[in-house]
Parts: sequence; structure tokens; C-alpha cells
Amino acid sequence: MEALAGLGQGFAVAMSAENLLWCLVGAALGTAVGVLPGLGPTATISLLLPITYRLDPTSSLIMLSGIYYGAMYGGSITSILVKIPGEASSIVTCIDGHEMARRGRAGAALGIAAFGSFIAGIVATLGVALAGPPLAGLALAFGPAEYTALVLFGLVLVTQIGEGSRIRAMLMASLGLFASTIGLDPISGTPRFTFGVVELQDGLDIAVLAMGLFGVAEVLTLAAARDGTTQMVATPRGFRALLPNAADWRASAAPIARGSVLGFVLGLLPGGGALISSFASYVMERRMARDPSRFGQGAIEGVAGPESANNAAAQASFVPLLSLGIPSNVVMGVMIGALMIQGIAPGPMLAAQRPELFWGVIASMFIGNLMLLVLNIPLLPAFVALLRVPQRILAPLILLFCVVGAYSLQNSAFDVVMVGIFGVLGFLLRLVKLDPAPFMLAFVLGELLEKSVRQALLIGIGSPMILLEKPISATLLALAALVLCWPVLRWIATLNRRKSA
Amino acid sequence: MPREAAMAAPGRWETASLGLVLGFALAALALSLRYPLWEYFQPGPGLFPAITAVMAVGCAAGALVAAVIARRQQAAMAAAEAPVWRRLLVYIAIVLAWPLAFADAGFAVSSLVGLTLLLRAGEGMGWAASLGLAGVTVALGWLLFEKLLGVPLPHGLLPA
Repeated sequence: MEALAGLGQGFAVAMSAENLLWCLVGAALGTAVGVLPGLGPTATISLLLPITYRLDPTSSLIMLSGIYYGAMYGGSITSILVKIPGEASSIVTCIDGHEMARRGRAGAALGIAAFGSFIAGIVATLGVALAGPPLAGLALAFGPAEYTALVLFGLVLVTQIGEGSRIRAMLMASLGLFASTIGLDPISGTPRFTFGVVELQDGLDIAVLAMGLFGVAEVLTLAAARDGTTQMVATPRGFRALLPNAADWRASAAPIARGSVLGFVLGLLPGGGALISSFASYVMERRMARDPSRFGQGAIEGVAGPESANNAAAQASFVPLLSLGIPSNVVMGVMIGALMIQGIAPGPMLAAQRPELFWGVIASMFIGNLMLLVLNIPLLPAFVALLRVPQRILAPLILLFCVVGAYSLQNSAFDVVMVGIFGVLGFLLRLVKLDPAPFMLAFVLGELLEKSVRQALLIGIGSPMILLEKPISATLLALAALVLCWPVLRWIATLNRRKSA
Repeated sequence: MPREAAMAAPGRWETASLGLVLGFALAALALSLRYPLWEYFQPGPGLFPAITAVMAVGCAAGALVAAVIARRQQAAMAAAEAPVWRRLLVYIAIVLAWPLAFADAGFAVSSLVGLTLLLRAGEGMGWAASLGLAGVTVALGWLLFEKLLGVPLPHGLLPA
């Protein structure tokens, strides 16, 4: 009942002309960046942070969330037509989606991707509405020990589940935590690592960091590794060409349902998110198929499942953000930045203190998904045309946006210089395979972790055993330890198996 | 050029960079230890930074060792294709110089010069096309930020 009443309030907020407009802007922009290879939702949301500063908090979050799930829709277009993932989470769609397109079934592939994403989006948004408030209620009972354990568990999952080397992800997370300590000590007020620079006393600005590490660094990445001209298969013409037939629906119904549930569950986990859920869905569909050899040859299930899963995961990642104030992936980390710019701290009190924002954003996801379905089907040729915009024009435009956007945050030239420095640093880090995403997430969570650790130690009179005395924190820490030790346990198990064989 | 191939850094660079990160982490640890770890019967301002720096030192050392082992194992592997260095260096130079000139030269002049040089030297476009595109972009940027969003952009060399 609480969710229904909340949703009613949320729809009243989301249906205002202003919020509908920002939802449309976010959905359209998200689809556009999803289509463009290279430019992802993280970079786009980072670039738009200065603009959100001048918007109402609810409108800004509605727009930014629209960009995130809109990118999930857009990413499939490039994957299917060009076999280049527009978005990382659409990588698996390249396999069967492009194969369908090569066999003249691009319309069905694009159609089922859009409809699947829509259905999964609605299912996951319902999940967000139902799971969010109880989780927030549970989190109200959390003290410093529980928060310490929760953040540590989240960070461990992010570094262990994500792509790439685990040790490097842990290194970046440690550096992110360290970077969060720059500025005045939150308890004693002692300036730390400021080297006499007054601008550093407030710490590093999350928006400046995001714009540099993801915006400017993306421009440099585009400059360093320019893709050649895109080889596109024929774009389907007309509305009817995009409608899947009855056989397509029969084959896709179960994968869409499974993808929605799987994506929602994985999206809740820190480090889970859209990319992993799309891979997990593809693997699951191939294992469950009567004839797995069809996968890779243009099986529609290989498009329907992953595309549903990635959109469901994108929506689900709002649950930990809105209910616990914990970002489960880097996009949510940047979203926290957007809220902090507005002076709003996401967390368990958000639903009670700012119900219009909490429920407004959730209701806007229903509207945004509907908008995306309407946008994606008739406006497909317009989005496809974006693929013809030369990157040599796109890159300088993004750079101008970064420079002026950074200045507009506080009308400070210092921020502009910092964006440039972090941009070059972000690019160099990527070049040596050090992913800035765990750094950013740890940076966002650093202040909360430090405060919680210090308060917990204070309560425990200096003893860290307080973290193990509380059942919730002990469980979370045990889970974190298990995740950390999992590769070692698996290695020991493999050794034992080899010995016994 | 495939994106991944171009982005793959040669092993030597990777190892050297991880060495640099390790050095940075050690410096961070040394700086953290300058602050009290424990004072007035409670955790001091240096405790958390010191813990994170120790974690960073450990992880950096681990990553460095792993990179060295991987390099030895893959010694026979062909070096990855390097990024387009000329264009990249132009971009990096402008990314660093443009912000420095932003306040003193002003938004219009610094952006026009920065974008024109980027398009001409970085992207190989003609002078006229570079100047034209940069001019249009700067005008649109000015309209969006100064007029629409009310950001007081610096005038610098131009009269207010």
C-alpha cells in the first residue's frame, strides 16, 4: 500500500510538464550516447553534472536516470547494425543480433531488443518501487559498524566481480579511498594533503573528478584509438519492419522474463550491473536452449534475454542508491555526485525526507521506458544517422563542454585546470589498464567509510572487534572475506581435484 | 584500427606505470604518517589515510609483481599497435593548456584558439574549416552556458 501511495505521488511529480520534458531529454540523449560507440552513459552523465546544478534536484535525477537506461536501448542499435557495441552492456548482442541483421532480420532484432528492454524496464521499476522502501526501513537501524561493513562489502564486490584484474581494481579502490581524505578532516577539521592550496580544503570535487576521469579521458581515448568508418548492414525501413512476428514472440517471451528477473537481481549487487547481467543472461539462454548450436547463428533468444537483462539491471541499481545511499556501479557513483551538488544525501532517509524525489524518479522510469519504446521504433533512422557524425568533430565538441562545464560548477578556473589534469591522468590510467571506475566508486564512498570506521572505533573504545560483535556487520564482513578468498578457495579445490584425478 | 589493440599499452610502459603508482602509494603512506593516528582517546586524522595508503602499497606491489610475471610469460608476444601519438600529444597539450588560459584569455579567445588548433593540428582539417567549426562551436557554447544557463563566463582579453 505504501508503494502504491508513493507511486501515486511520484506520478504526480513525474507528469509535470517540466519533468516530462527532462525525462524526454534524458531518454533521447541516453539513446544517442548508447548508439555512439565510445561515448557511454558515465561520460555523458559526468559532462552534464554542471547543467544539473541549475535544475531542480528531481528533474536533474529524472534526466540523468533517463540517460542511463536510455543508453541500454541505444547500445543495441549499434551492436545489431554495425557489430560494434555502442555500450559495454550490449557486447553480447553483437553476436546474435548482428547475425540476424546479416540474414535480413535487422528489424526483428531491433524490435525485440526494444520491446524486451521495455518489458524488463517496467518489471524492474516495479521491483525498485517494492524493494526500495523496505530496504530503506531496514537501513535505518544501521549504525557505524553496519555501515562500515556494508561499504567494505560493496567495495570488495566491485573489485572482485567487475572486469579486468582484481588486484588492479583493489589498487584503484585504495587510491580512491585515499583521494577522498584530501581536504579537511571531517571530525577534527585538520587540513590533510592540501599542501597549502585553499581550493583543496573542501576536498576534490566529485563533479570535477568525474568530468576529468570520464569526460576528458574519453575524448583522449577517442583521439588515441579512432575506429575506422562504420560498416553498417541495411537499416530496416518502416514501422512494420521493426515488429517481431508471432514466432519471434514465442521464442523470446521466456528469455525476456528470465532476463528481467536475472538482471534485476544482479543489478542490486555492487559490481553487478548491466554488463554482467547481459553476459549471464546469454550464458543462461544458451544452456537452456534445446539446440544451443543456434546461438551465434542469429538466435533471437540471444538478443531478447541479454537486452532485457541489461535494462532490468540498470533500473535495479537505483535500489541501493536511493535506499542505502550506496552506489552499486560507477554511473550511480556519478549520480551521487549530482545529488550532492544539490545538497541532497541519498540514503535511508531520502524516501521520508524527499518523497517527491524518491517516488518521482521511480515513476519517471515507467514514463521514460514508454518514451524510449516510442522513440526507438519510429526514430530509428535518426539515431542511426548519428553513427555518421565523424569522431573528429565529436571529440573537440565534448572537450569544449568539459572545459566550460567545469568552469560553470563554481565559476572557478582552478576546477578547469583540475579537470584537465584528471583527464590526462584518467587516460594514462586506462592506457596501462588501470580502470578508473573502482577509483571513482571508492572516492564517493570514502567519506562515509571513514566516518563510519572512526565512529565505530570510538564506540568500541578503540577495538575493531566491534565490527564483528554486531550480527549484520559480522555477516557482511564474513561475506566480504569469502568473496575476497574465493579465487584462492577455487584454486585449492582445483588442485585437490587434479590430485585425486 | 581496433580500439582494444590501440589501447593496449606495451608491457614495459605498464610495468613502469605500476612502479610509479607504487612510488605514489609509498609517498601517500609517508605523508599520512605525519598526522596523528590516534589522539584524545579516538582515531586521529591520519588513521584512515594511513590504512588506505597501506592497502594501496600492498595492491600496487601485487599488481607490479603480477605484471612482471605476465611480461616474462608473454615475452614472445608481438607488441601491440601504439596509439596515434601525434594526434594524442596535440590533444594532451591542448587539454592541459586550454584550462590554464581559460581565465586569463577568456572563454571566447581560449576556446577559439584551443579548438582551432585541435581541429587543425590534431585532426588535420584545413585552416578555414577548423576556424569555421571552432567559431560555430564557441558561439553555441556561449549561447548555452552564458545565455541559457546564466554562467558568467570569463571575458579575459575581450571587453566585458
